[in-house]
Amino acid sequence: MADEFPDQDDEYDLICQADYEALRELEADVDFVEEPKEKKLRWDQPEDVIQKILDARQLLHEHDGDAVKKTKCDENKKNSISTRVPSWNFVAVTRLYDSQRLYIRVRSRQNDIKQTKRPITNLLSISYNQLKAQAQKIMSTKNELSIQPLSNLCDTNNDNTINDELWVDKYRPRSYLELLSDETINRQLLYWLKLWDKIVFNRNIIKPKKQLSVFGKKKDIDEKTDIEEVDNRGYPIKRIALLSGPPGLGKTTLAHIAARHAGYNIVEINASDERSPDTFRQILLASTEMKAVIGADPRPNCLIFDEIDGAPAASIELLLKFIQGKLISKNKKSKGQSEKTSDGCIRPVVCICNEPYAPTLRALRAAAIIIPVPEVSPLRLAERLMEIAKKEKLNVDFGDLVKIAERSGCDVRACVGALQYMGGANLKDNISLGLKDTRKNLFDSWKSILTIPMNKRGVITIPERIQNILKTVQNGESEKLAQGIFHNYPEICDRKLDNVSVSLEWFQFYDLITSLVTHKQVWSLMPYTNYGFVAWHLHLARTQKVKLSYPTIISEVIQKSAKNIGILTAVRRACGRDAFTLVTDIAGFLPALLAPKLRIVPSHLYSSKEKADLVRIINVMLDFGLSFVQEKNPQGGYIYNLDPNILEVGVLPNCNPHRYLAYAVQQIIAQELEVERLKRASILTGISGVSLLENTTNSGESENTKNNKNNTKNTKNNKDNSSNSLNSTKSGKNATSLKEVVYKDFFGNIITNKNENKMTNRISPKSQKGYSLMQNILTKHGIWYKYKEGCNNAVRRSVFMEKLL
Amino acid sequence: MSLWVDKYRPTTLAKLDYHLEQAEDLKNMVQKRDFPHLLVHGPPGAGKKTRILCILRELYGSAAERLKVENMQFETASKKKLEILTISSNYHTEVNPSDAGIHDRIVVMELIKATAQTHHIDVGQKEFKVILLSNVDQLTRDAQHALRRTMEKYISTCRLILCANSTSRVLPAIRSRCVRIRVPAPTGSEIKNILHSICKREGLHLPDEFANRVIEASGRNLRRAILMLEACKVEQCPFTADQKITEPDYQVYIRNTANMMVSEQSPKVLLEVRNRFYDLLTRAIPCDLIFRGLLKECIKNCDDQLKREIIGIASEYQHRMIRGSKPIFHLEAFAACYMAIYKKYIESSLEGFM
Amino acid sequence: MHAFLKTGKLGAPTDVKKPSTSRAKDDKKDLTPWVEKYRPKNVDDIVEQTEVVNVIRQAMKHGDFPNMLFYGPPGTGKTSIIHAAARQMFGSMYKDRILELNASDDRGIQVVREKIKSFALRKANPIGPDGKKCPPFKIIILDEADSMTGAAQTALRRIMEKEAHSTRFCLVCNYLSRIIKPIASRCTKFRFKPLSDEKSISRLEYICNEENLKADRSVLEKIVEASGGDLRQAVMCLQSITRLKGKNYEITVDDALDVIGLIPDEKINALWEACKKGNYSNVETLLENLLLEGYPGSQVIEQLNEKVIFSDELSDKQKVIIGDMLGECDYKLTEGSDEYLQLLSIFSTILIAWKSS
Repeated sequence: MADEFPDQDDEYDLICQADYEALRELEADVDFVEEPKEKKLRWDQPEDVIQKILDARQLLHEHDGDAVKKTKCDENKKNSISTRVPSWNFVAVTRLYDSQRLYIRVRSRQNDIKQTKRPITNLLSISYNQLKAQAQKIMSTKNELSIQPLSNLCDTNNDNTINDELWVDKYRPRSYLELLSDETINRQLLYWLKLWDKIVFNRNIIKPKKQLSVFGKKKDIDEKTDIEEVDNRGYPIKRIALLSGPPGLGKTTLAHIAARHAGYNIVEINASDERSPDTFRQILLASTEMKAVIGADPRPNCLIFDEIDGAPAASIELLLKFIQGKLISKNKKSKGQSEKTSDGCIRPVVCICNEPYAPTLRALRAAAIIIPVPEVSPLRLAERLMEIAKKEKLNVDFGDLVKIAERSGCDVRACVGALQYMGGANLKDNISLGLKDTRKNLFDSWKSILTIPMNKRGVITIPERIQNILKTVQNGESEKLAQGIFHNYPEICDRKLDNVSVSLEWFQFYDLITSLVTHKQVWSLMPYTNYGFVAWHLHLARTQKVKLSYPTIISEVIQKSAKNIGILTAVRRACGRDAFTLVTDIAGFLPALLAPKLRIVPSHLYSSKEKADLVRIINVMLDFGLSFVQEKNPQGGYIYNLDPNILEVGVLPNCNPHRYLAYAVQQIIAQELEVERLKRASILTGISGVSLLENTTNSGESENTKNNKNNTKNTKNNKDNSSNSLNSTKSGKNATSLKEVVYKDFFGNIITNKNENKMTNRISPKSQKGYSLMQNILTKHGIWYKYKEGCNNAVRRSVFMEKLL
Repeated sequence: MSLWVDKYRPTTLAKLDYHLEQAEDLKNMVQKRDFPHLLVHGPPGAGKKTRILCILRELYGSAAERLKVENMQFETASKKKLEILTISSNYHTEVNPSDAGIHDRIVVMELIKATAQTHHIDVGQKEFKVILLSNVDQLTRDAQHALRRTMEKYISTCRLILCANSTSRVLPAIRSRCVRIRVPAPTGSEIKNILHSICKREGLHLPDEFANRVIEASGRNLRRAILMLEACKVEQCPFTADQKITEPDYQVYIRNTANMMVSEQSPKVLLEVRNRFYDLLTRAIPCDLIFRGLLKECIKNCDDQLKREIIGIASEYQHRMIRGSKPIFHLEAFAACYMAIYKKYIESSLEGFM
Repeated sequence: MHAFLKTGKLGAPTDVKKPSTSRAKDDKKDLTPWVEKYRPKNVDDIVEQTEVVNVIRQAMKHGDFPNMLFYGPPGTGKTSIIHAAARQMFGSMYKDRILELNASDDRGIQVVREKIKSFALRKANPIGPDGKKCPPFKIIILDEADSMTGAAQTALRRIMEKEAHSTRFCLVCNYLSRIIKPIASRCTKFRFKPLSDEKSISRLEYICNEENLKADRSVLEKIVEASGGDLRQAVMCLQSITRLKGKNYEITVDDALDVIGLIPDEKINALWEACKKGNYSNVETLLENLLLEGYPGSQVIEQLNEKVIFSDELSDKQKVIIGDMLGECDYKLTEGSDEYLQLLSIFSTILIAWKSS
């Protein structure tokens, strides 16, 4: 029992006094009843669970008015009560006053003892016995309390009048059930935290079984498709949870409670702590690698990073590295350890932010499971406010509370704060509590701009619409708004192109103004950008509902552009031309130039024309710094791609028909490329090696001139040998020149640079690419060797039998 | 070295194939002691770089051909680091300052100062080094101002050769400090001669008709003509008179886009056209080429009044595009405006029939 | 001082009226552009700008200088005048008393605050080191002042006021509108007119004599006309021709036009005729060819402008339309717009204008 998921039944609050009594009665008689050995888990029926929780809450409210019930400090009692027939051993009782049938769980005393011995790594923070004791205490004080209609919730401070504590803190939920946020979200976070059980507590994670229902109803249970991923070593794939949402929803509270519930000790870092990369690193390492030896809490740490969207980008990168285990503490960096990557951090990390799409969090988003915390429903919030008001002896009208809740955008903190500082009776008059500078969701703004708003009387007048639009736009980011409208309008506008044309002129205007503002810092023009939205609304809005999509294409375009520019730069570096000619002239023709008609036969069988083609294409590729790289295509086969892939820049879809080389031909070319490249590099190193020896003491100038002389000398030599070597390349067989090298190397002797003299082409110092690399290799090892699979370059010697005997 | 464009590029002034008197003048200029700053301008593919390299060779001999590519580091006032690709030999440096974007002023100044302040020890050569700036017409105003003073100050140790497509954007002050060398595009017959000589050296036969077609398709751009020829050769060799000529993809693409706009005018088409624009823009195709290509196709079926209107719109929008920072807005605006006007025109002409 | 001469940089003033071009220094001198070589070295050499010259002469006599702002088209002698005056006044102390900042130097606010301020705060001794009397102030020359940012100019004006007793400012610019009002009000403004043809031609003839060039007067006239009052451009043109063609060469009108970059009249006329006839595709091809020849678009506009204004064939209304278009396109061209599109726009306007007449 200790290894299993905690029973969902454990989360029930003991509800009413009568139940307590009933329980106590039962307790005495159940020694003989045996507990079933195996518990059936209910974790796979989250619907049920959720329902039960909600029921429990409801019951809680029903019997409210008595602060006794809000035993926040008293955690879930081990004895469980259910309103429906449960699967464990139970005893049925009927509640006295409303004839509600209750099923109370029955346990043997032994289990109780077991429970107390259970390690404190389950949902409850306090052991059962303590809970029971507390329950009894509460019941005993209930009589006293019934005299005082109200009392404090928190048992720390009984003094109402001189209480400085913020109600936000005072009435902060202390247990899982008291969370205001949506139950599914709570579940999600808790589930994710539980995934870490294997690593942290060495407990097996039980995954929810996918329910195959006959009616197919249960398909939507599995919303948590993200969370079930645990990789092969047991680590959850998404190692960070990112809670996001507008401020005041209860994210921090949720994180704290969920973590505590799951059995962790919480280490919090928020915006008021120093978050420079160094401090960050220290904290990260300290919290996970170290543990308090002497401490009250032998529980593992769970990190909570609050307000992470304000952290410096460096810190966030550090965090990412940390999760992947690549972070090493500074003093540990010794030789050989520097690149050791461990499996990753072994503690869960929960991050909290307001805006998940902030640019600093981009990298984090990929590695994290994003849990958007939705808004609390106004009714629920109002209920909670009502409770607080009652406890604080405030007289408020429920309707007002609902209004406050709606106005503040369901920001719990703001509402409770308003309640605290406005007082009760004045609340109605002060309903104009500072309307928050609410950031309307982007989608909402787009919708409001692109739909013609109607009210009961029909279409709203134009001046009003204009005002509304201006108001909407002022709060948001105009850049994103404009992009969204630009992206979405063609699908929804009518067929009249005049409107479209005029709106596009406004887009131009918008672009011009923003360019002026950003490039020349003419800030006085900024207000004019808002009027573009008015124009777009008036021209493009429709009455019907619009389906909007986020302009992801913008980021795609940017990425693609950057990639292509990277490709162009790489090619430029190799060939030395400027970007304009590359793009307009050369890149357009390269696809055609790089696709000669070569047959798929071994290269030594080529005709002389084909050989010439082969040489040509190799030269072209080397000039532009291109090479073939083998990659796996999605079907699993291998293909060759150009690297850098200038074809992406030169080829546009559905234009000229392009011919691509066959795989085998590409293979041949790739091999030849390597050979040629090494040859060229060896030429360079050969020369520089010679001249370096001669000219170590001379000044730079004369060295260069001597270099020139050497070059010219060598070129003369080259030309003699060139015909030889040309033949060898053309035949594609490097075997002849390689054979000698192979031979000697086979027996372990090192060869001098015989290959130097076998120059093939005119020296082109432009091919700097392999230069330094080759220099290293060649000077270090002096030879290069390529083994051809399947070729018998093996050495042939005659072996006599006597040698073998 | 490999492409015909590079293989058959003339390396000395004597080997130039066209604009021969200009070549003579250049030779004279090099042989005298006072070599001025140069501003070489002309349409793309006319041979500006070729001539500049020939001049360099004339000045410094074959040492100027030994090139190496390196990255130079610059630091801006706001501590931002820039890396610019330069190609240099011992005696000259070539750089494209517009790589640096708005910081090109710093690139220009630092480079010239650095080059000018190192004196050459080698007695045999000239006392000045050469700095070659490409795409001068894309320099910002600041950079051009900086350039003009630096040109005067360091004239003894360093000469500038500026290469531009057109001098309209170059400050008059700079223009007056340089000798302007106008390199016009070669005429059709000149290109033909060159193509013939290349084919002869490659051992291929070039039918006349085919050559004419290539010349026409290239638009008097020699580089493109040679590349076309080579691409056709890879495709099919020996040449036939009616062989297909490959055009760069983007031209075909722009033409197709324009045809789409002509054939149907609706927001749906606008959306497709927009995606095509994105395709072109991500491949770094310069925006004014896109405008030009579109315009050419779009006005084919219009009468003069309409032509005037559309051309006016195109020029206005292109100008706005230069001043703005999001080309897609302006391209799409042009597409929509064109479609709106064209549609009205068609409808009105159809009405005339009825 | 002679070393100063030898470096071939801006030459130091000499007492001789004629600028020195001794054959011994030929080597180095050859490198200097003629613009520098024949730059007037003292105030009396200045061609044409009588007003300014008078004021400066007075100032030099009395030793009192106002803050000055020189503006006008390029090549009219603004920088030359102030340098000449400064040299004449300060003689050997030139370096100490003059601070020159131009567009290639950093002239942001920081520099204004540090460099200029510290220079302005130095004391100016009325007696020079060689015992001669010299004006008790320093001069700060801000060349190409129109490219200074507004903020830098604002920072400047306070310094101008405060240090007025010991420092005088001299700003040189092309466009007065680029200078902020507070600064303009603190200076006396001098407008430099474009030089008259006569004076320019005589100067050119002088240079030709010095450099042993043969040029017909008509050629020189054409050169001066084409440079439009910019003496620097004219001299530059002369030098370019010499460089290209060699000395001892008779300069012809064609060479001059080529170097200056004027488009041959036939080409412009051909376009004009094509517009008159109303054949659009013809116009298009001709324009393309024109651009392929490498002629800059702004040049086309300038020459077209001349033609349109003085044409008798167009009505005033048409001229207005065309002129309007020309102005707009010229502006767009300087902003960097595509030449082909803008010129096509102009020519199609002309076409339509012809059609409507």
